[in-house]
Amino acid sequence: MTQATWILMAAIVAPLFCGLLTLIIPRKAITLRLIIALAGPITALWLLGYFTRTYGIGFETADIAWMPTLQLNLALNADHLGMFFAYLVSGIGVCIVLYARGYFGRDADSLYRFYPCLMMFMTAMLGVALSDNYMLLMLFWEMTSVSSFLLIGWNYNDSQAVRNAMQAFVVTAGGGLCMLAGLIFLGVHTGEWTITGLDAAGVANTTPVLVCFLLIFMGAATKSAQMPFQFWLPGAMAAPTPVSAYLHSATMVKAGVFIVGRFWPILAAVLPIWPMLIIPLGAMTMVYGAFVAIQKTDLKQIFAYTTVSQLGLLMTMYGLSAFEYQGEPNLIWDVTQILNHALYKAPLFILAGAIGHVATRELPDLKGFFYRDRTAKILTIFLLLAGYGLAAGPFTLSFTAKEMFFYQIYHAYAETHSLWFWPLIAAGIATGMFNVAIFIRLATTLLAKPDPQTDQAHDDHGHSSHGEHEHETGIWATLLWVPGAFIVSFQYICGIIPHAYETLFGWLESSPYYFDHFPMTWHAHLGIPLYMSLIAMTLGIALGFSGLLRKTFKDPCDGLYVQFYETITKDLGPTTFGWVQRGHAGFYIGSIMVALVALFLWSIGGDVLGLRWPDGVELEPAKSLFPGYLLTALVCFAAILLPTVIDRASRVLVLGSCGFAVSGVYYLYKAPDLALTQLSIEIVSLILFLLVLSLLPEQPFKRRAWVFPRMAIAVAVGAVMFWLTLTSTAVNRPTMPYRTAVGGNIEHLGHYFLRNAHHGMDTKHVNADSLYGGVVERPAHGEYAENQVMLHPGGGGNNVVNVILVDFRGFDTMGEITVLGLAVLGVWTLLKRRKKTGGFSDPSSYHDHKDIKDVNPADMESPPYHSINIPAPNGPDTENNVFANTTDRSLNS
Amino acid sequence: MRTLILQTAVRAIVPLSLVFAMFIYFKGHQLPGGGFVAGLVAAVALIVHRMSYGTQSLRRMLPCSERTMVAIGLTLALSTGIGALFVGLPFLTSTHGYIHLPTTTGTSYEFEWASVMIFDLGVFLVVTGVVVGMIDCLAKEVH
Repeated sequence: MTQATWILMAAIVAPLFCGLLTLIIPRKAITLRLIIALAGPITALWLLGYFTRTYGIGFETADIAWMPTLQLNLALNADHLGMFFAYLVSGIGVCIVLYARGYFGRDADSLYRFYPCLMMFMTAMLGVALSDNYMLLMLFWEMTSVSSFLLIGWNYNDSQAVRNAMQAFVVTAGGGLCMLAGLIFLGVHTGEWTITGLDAAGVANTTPVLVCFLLIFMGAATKSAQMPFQFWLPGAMAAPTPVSAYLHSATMVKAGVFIVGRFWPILAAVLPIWPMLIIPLGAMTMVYGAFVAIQKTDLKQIFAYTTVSQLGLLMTMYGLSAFEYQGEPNLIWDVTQILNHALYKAPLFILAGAIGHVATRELPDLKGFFYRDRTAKILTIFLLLAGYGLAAGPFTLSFTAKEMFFYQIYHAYAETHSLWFWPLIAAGIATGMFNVAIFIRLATTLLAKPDPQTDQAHDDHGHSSHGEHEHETGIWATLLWVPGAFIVSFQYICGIIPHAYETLFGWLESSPYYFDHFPMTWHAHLGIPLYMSLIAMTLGIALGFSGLLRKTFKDPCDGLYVQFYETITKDLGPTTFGWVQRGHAGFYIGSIMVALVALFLWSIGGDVLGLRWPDGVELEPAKSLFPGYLLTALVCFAAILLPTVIDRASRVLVLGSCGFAVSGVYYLYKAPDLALTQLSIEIVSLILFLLVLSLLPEQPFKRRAWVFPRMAIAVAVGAVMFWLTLTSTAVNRPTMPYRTAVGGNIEHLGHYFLRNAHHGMDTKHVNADSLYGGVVERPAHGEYAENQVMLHPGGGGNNVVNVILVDFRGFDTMGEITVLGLAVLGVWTLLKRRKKTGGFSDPSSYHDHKDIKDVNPADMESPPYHSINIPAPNGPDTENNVFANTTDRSLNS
Repeated sequence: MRTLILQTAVRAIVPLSLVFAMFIYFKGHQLPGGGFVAGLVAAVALIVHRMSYGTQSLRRMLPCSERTMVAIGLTLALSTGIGALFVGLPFLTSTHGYIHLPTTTGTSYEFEWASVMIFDLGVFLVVTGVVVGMIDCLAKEVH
């Protein structure tokens, strides 16, 4: 059903649409902006709800062809896991939109910039959750990387934030590239390009599938910050708190877990490496994250590392699904685990940001924060309520979730009796212990009687992590904590009221094995899992009050990326790549030319003397060629003149005359389109050349080296090009795949274009999903089968060149204008940057840059690879006329 | 070059070139021309204007910045592509047809439209915006 697909697509795009809509209203209209931004996730929620009611979860939506030749289709998968994620993303999204209003206060500029980025991210996440097609999934996956880069590097004036954003981007996008390779490989290998299709077809334990899995898991592990990639997640805390709360509780970091969750029904039982790789990695991440978290002092850092820990737990959970228990997969209520984490981590971040807003985020400075004022009391209470969820205390959803996780370990052990599960049990207990201890330390610090001296923290509002802006008062100020309080309330509603969980979320559960009803705290009965919980809590309380692990600890993995970056830009880059990337145009062009000649010789087998004049070349009578002789003589003269001219500007002018003569040749031989285009292009490129040349430093006169090899290369390339042009017009090309309407063969592609440019002579009826491009007419109702359309390749134009550009090859043109747009964006940004700083500098570099004055123009020949410094133009220019400088120089020389 | 001769000539040349650009854009589907070359012609005209009258005058002449022009152009081109998706056809599928306009003499005037015209308009805007924007930006730099 196409309609169902469109409803889901609308839900995916709704946030982005609303986000873009906020851009066109005036900056000062904060409330209107908030309402429009809120409309995004709310519309998404409403559409998802409508879909659920009308079609039901797991409804098979129809695929809509987007680019069938690239295997890219709008194929969506609205199963339990996908729909759960979509609900989670948009539901938490609503809260974050409200919270951002409280966080940024009346800072209209920040809100103006924030909502579109956030909404783009939301769309990307919704897309990841609902995509079924690999390519569509990757599209949204990379979109999350890009939009999260924008969000993490929010403070673009803070070079540390930019570096952290780059770090997050390089790690997650690098993983994404691995995943892209894995998915393409998987698609090519199995022939299935959708996850549901692959599930239905099934896979075997073969080496290609193994490689695909490893590549895909690489993407999941980097996104979900598994060891040793966990460093990017705490680094991403440079973002404003609404971003942290959204990205790191409910969305971005869960994407990796989500991918593993998507693939476990297909791969977990098939690949033996699934548990062997995922369980140890997840368990290590789980313990290590919690171990680092307890030794941090910044609230956001603490919660970042507990997020790392929890992600490890979720990975382990999916790793354990490879086993079986009582004939069913050993996976207990995975959606609940994911939801549970979001329901306490989002409030923790929200309230940490709120506390940082009114005081500071450094835990030691927050001693006795509870007694400060009324707001502080509210914030403390809700932070501790959420923290109790982190500790997985009884009567929360979290308690049950942790029990379920322990049951999973226990079940796997009971089934296999492998000794390897004892370390895992210990890891589970240790993680629980650290989480409890973190909660105890939070509580004891915030509730401790304040010392009179330390009360000065009240004044240090200008905390570095929090931008200075006007604060909000009254009803809007409560938005700082109300969304957090709202989210955390579900922890207790689901933990205390029987059946509440099932009514609220349980119907989204994808693996509801082993339990008929959602177990409440009082359903727990003695067994190894409960003992594990009890041991963890006892140890955790003891650790919390003890003096152990109170020093700060720096994660050694933090240096990994810096080291990687330094190696690439300082050592490996300049030495290895520098060997190829000489920064010398002559070298580049020379190698391309030599390669061209070599390839040509290789393709003809080196038999140069065996080349014969091709058949079918028609020579025009000399008389009709006469005007052409003059023009080609001009072209040749300019070409020969070119190497003898030394001055750059003159050379450009000579080159231009060559181009103008060529456009004359085009006109002469009845290609007015090309002539006109060539003429305009020549003018534009001439101006561009002269402008750029006038920015370059003076060129000292140098005698040319290697004159004869250069001449030899030039002559060889000329000969090759001549031969290629000659044969391309004469020799028959391979058979075209196109057939005429009556079944005849179309010999040339050009022939096909000519036949079909205006009226589609080769009209035929094809299935709608098998065609790509071309012009289509819908047949009259009942004439053909429902999915058939009439391929009508006529472009409706007599100008074949233009029809090819905008119709037959429209997608190429689309790509070309995009490239043009990107090029001009590059020019604008780089030149603007240069104007501001006097030189190009790379904010992501870990070293200070040389001042612009220190750069010698002679260094221009080999610019350093990490930063390009171009000296400012120093030519005398006092006139109002911007072109005078260029023109004068070129004329004087 | 702020010379009187050029400035006077430009007054005649630029409007003519712009009209010519529109002409080859509209005729592009049947006669030599098209969005790309029309965009180039318009861009060259605008640059000539900028050369003789300066960047401020160019700003006054353009209804929006080049940046907006490029953005609108890309959006137009993309939206014609996406439009096909909404009727269940692959991206960038085009269609065309005829409109019969009644005339006073009683015979109807046949006017051909094609959905690629909008696509071509996008190409036109992008090319103009890119060329003018790039040269303007670089020229400011030289200045």
